[in-house]
Amino acid sequence: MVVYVTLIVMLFGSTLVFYSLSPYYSALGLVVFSVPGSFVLSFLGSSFVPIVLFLVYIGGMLVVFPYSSAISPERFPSVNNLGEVVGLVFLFSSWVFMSFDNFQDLKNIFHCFVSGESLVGSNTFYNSGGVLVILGVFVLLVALVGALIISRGIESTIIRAIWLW
Amino acid sequence: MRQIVSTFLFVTVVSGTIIVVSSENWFIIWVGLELSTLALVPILCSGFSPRNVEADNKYFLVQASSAALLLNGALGQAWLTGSWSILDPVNEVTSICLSIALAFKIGLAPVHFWFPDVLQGLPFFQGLIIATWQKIAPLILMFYFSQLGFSYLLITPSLISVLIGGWGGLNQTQVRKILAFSSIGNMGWLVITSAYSFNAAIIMLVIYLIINTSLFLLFDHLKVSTLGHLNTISQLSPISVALVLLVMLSLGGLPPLTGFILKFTSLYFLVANNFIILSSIMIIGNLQDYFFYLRISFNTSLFLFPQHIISSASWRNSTIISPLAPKAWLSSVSTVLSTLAIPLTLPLYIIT
Repeated sequence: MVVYVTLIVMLFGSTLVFYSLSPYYSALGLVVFSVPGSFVLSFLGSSFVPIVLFLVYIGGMLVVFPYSSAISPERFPSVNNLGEVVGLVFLFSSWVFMSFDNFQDLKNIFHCFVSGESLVGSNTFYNSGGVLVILGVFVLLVALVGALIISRGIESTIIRAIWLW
Repeated sequence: MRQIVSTFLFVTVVSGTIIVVSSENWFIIWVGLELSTLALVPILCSGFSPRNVEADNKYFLVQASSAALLLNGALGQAWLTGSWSILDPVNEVTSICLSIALAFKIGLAPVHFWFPDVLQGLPFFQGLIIATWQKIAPLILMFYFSQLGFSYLLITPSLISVLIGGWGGLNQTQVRKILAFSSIGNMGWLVITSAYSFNAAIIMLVIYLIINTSLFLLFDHLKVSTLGHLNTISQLSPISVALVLLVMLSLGGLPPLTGFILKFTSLYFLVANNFIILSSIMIIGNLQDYFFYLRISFNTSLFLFPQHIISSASWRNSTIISPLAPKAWLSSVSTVLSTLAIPLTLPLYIIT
């Protein structure tokens, strides 16, 4: 049942992402999403991937987010209808709590295929698949250059002019 | 944009296509497609006017979602067969996913709706890149797919493309939308031919790219955007009168010009495989295409519009481009090849 409860918290986080009218609460939804995401992966035996997921979400994406939102702050941030989201979470939680007896179902848990992958996957990625790392770096560089070029048009309020029609 | 940045982006677009064409792993193909899309996006919003940026937005959304669909199909392929290689036989369900993703990318008929709007919103040079270079990578993949096994999933959209390319362009007055619909129709011809012969489709692709390049560069030089602008071409640049006429007729498939090889190669292989009734439908679609090519040709060179009495002494000339500029080289080479290159294409039949 632990897995299902974490899935419900993930649902709450992801619903918050698209329900909120302000990007602040969307970022909060991403934070709420990443914690159970890493939890459920580590619960099923993986160690490397949840660490990387958590690092990239919290340490990467959400560090960049306050810097960019400080440029264009919003005066009254709000969520569309928080009652609906909480109601949805309570509904699904009631289904989960009524379906399971034990908090941790030890006999039904399956030992997942992700265990032990850190011994094989990441090593191969840097060793014989090194070209892929360089290709990935190049793609990220191109994406950065493209994003900087396009957002330079913000000072002429081009993208903002389109999305506020 | 500074020149080093735009050079970097152009090199990345080219390298993205080369990565797609030269790899056998679906993941690397996806990386190559995304690379060419990502590098093209800042090139496309060149003037930063709202029209350019909006067309750029549409292009990026369509290409990114279709690349995600392609990755989804590749993941399904890896799940079901255990291999990421494109040389392995394709599962039927994932082949549907992959074919639809590739059809999105080239603008084949049921999913062609983004293409006229994107081409209309962009200047001719950026439209040239989208209409010619960006089609190479998905088309090569699609040709490969057609060879794997005969499937109606690619034949039917191609037939619909040919007809929609014809019907859609009939009511257009903007030249870029006309070119978009003609491109949609020609994509249909290419994909159908690839079901019967890979080499013929490659020949057709090369010839089609050359003709399209010359057309886009001509209209870019003449700064034509509507059909109403065509009537002053004879005053602005008298040589373009002949060139527009010849290249347009070549694209339609008139025999002494190169575009005839385009349609002839396709029909040769289709009729040899007894695809007769549907190829007559394609010819009808091509006739609709040919109607608005003729409309452009008539407005440019075959009608006598009111003009200056001493029309040889016209005081308005189009902007003179230096004959050493790369655009002049490219447009002159491609224009000559697109009208006079039939003797060059005859030895190609050895490889078909």
